[in-house]
Amino acid sequence: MQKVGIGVSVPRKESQDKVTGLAIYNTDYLSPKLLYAWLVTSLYAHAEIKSIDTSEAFKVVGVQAVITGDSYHLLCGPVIEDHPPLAKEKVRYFGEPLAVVIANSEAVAKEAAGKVIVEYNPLPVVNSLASALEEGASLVHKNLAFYKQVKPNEIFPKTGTNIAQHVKIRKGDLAEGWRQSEVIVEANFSLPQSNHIAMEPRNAIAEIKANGQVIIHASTQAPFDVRKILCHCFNLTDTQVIVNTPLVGGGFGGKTNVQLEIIAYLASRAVHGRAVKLIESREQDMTSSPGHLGLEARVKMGATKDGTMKALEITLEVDVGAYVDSGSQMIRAMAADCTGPYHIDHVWCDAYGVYTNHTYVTAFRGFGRLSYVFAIERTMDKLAFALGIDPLELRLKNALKSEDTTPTLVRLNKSSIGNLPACLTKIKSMMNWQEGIRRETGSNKVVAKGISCLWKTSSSPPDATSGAIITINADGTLNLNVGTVEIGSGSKTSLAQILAEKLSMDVNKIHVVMDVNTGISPSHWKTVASMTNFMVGNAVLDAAEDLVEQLRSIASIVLRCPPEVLEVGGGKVYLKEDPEIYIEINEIGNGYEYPEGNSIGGQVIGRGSFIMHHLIHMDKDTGKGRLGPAWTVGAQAVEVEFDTQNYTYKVLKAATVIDAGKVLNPKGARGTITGGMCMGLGYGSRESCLYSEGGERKNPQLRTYHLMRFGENPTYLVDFIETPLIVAPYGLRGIAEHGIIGIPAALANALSTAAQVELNQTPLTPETIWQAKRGKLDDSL
Amino acid sequence: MIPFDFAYYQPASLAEAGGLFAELAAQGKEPMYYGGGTEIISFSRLYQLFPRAVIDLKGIPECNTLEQKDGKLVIGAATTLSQIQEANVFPLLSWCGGRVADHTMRNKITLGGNICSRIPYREAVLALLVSDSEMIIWGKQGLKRVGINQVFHQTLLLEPGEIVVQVVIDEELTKVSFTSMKQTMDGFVHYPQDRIGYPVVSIAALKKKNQINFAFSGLCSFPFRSTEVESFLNHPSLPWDEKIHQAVETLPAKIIDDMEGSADYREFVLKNMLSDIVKRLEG
Repeated sequence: MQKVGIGVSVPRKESQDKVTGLAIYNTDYLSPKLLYAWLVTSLYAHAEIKSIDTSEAFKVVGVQAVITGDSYHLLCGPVIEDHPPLAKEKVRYFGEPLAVVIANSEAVAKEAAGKVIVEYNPLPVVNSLASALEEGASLVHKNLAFYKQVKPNEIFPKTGTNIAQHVKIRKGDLAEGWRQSEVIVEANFSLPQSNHIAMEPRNAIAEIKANGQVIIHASTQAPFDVRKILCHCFNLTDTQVIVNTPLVGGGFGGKTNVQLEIIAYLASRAVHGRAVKLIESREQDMTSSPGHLGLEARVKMGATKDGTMKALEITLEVDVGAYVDSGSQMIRAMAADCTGPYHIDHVWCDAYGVYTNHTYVTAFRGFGRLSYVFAIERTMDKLAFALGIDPLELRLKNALKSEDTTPTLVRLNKSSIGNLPACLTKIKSMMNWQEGIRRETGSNKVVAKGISCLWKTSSSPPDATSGAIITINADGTLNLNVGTVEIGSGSKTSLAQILAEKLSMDVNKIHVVMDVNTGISPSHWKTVASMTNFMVGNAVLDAAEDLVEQLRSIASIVLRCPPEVLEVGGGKVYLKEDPEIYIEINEIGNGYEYPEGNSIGGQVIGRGSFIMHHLIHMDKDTGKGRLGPAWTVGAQAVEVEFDTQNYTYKVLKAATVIDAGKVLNPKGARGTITGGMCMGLGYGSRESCLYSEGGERKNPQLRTYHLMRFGENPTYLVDFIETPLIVAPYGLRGIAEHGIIGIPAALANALSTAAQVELNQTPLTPETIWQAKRGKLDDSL
Repeated sequence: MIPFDFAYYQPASLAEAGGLFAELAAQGKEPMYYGGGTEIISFSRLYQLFPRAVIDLKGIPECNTLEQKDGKLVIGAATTLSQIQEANVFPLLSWCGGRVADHTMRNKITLGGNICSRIPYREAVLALLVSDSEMIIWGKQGLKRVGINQVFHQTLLLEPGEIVVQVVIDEELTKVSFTSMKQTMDGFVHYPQDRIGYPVVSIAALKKKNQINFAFSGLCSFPFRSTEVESFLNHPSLPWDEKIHQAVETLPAKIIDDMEGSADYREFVLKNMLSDIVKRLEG
């Protein structure tokens, strides 16, 4: 029997369409009835809107409507409702949408958008975390106290300030921790906001039918959340809103946010429900839609002389920009895992979400982890050098294991934490660690290595659910319908593998419905948090069991035996003791017909579902709680060749060893981890949202916002440890985001060792290293 | 997408192009000649340029030559940077032009377009400056031939309606020793290109008998070759540190200070590069 299930490098089901250019993305949808929208965006970071003159825009032939924020009394936001979809009364960041032109063509809409005249009255700009937090700071939101909290258990703003969120971790007794510490190190860190830069810029299409039915076509990671938020904002019911999502051209968290769908809906409403397509230009995608958070961190860490970590005090100040969105959730997630994967008895963490007049933020690959991990892992190196212990050995000594507790007091077991020591041991030999972390190789060149660990749990709502439906075709193939979006991670193929394994059949005989339609797809929380294989995978297994039970029940009648003696596999239902006695599933999948015409059965529909369990909100005062079911741990390393004369460097190697629980698709997993590492190198080495003194975005283009390019990639090394997560399908753990998390830290550790200077910020350009060296030289004078 | 309408012309001869230009200018349409058009697209879509008429020079035969004749290399202005790189008839030009933008863009960007660009860097020009190339320019009086160092001062000094037709390079100079270095914000750029980005500093150097010619991009808001800078760098008796120090003191304008690199850092990179280049070329 041919079986292609778990552990096999199955090509992605959508690959052929993608490489031939035939794959359909959201904006490929064309119709002669479509109208087009173009955003008018703010030229100021913080200003009162004195007036918006749309009269010249209306004169452009082909303009259907122009809408502005004035027309709506509407505040949105997934956690706290602080966000007007179109700026009203004032603008809070450069690039903020403040009007929309709707026209017969995109060209006309764009031309007319250039003719909307906005008069501003500039306000003092909150342009940094420091200026947001200083006494008497200008307030980004004067009405913070009055905003409706959608999730009051999860957000703790401080009224009268720019602090939108404050999360506390109080574990053990910090004073006792310092008493036990023989060596204490401290450091400050700074990481800028950055952009997602998915290949497909964000976009949405909205239409309102005459009967009130709202049809949204969205490039989103969260079609069910789009539906929920539209229903919430506009008093609609689930049945009135249908969200369609085809293949998505990359998201990286940036398409979890619901923004353009709301604006497109408003635009459609302004033209009597006609379908309106709204596509952001690359520049708008980088300034008007949310990016990745910025962070300033202060870390104090203590250990005994033998390297046993005893105490950690960490302050995280997160630049969430002008609106909270899911920034508040990322702050919780960062605080909950704030120690990194190390056992520390005494932990104190204060994590703040701070409003500024920067572009607001949303989920980004790793959900905040790569930022705080940078601070922890750089401090780990500092501690190692202060103790005179090898940095990798220090991590090995303190790695979390079974029976340890997390900062939020979750007691770990082998299944929930996996095996970090095994990851570290493997990466040690993979990187040839014993040859030394700094070697001079002649002609001003130094080769240096840096290490970082990572861990991450999910942070879903405690009641997040997924569903799956399986049906059988006349040719014996199966249809699998799930609510997860194919955002390029190959999740639909992974789910087919899970089903193939369960039913012992060829994965090529399983068709997965690629598109999501909230009217007919089983629901799924969101395609985020590296949770698809876990949540939807469990739903698929549940559906498969349901399918098997039905098949055995019908087959037992046809084969004249009790269902218990039957097995399903290879597309057949067969007698356990004699597989030669069987019936093909296609003969019974849609009813079975006896030779004389009598029929029994009917369509077999396997249905399954999954809901998260035993998750607990974090306590407001101590942080005690449980955000996710388990962690994925891993070790990462970077090797650089550094030029001591001109401070340029080349990344030679980047490596990851991750405890995947079980590797579903080896090549797919390698690709996912490698992609994460590449993104991490980009963020660590060059990516940064730059703002002028007035808070205007200085680099909102790919000309000036630097990304990793094809020719710059180092040798990527990827390997896996397999410690099963017992509640997951086949023991697998989420790995989709994790490749990025420790890489900026590992890069900074390698470069700090190479340049012999502490590098505590990103991006790590040759110039920033030169500046750090120069600072050091100046200090020594 | 370009959010406005404009007129497009593709003349088949220089005279036709010039005639169109005069006519459109008289109508107040502020016409622009172009080769690849990449800047027209990228600036227009951001409302930073509003051409009402464009004249495409790619259909003019003289602008499309790429030939070696009578000891001269003649390159038409509409030749793309990719074509020049592939033909590799002048390695220094391949190097300088081959690190402009990315490969897809170089399939469009033309030599003439790069020379006349609005972007400060225009790195293909460096190879032309150090090799004392000549420019064939079409104007009302017909074709004229002038040394690039006579007509390129920050920008190419053209009269309205004039067209860069060809660049002529002495074949001898395509075979002498040269070097070229470029660093972006992210690091050193090797050739063939491994990194993409605007130069923090880009230098082309060519050894002509005992003299080394230098041209620079990324330092000032325009590419340049300076006889003063060269005279220090080629000074027969000054020690190297001093040569470089003096050269930096005599740059023709303030060093660029922006988000790609501060002025101090650019100066640091410049000094490092000069010392590397001199080591290499002096052997």
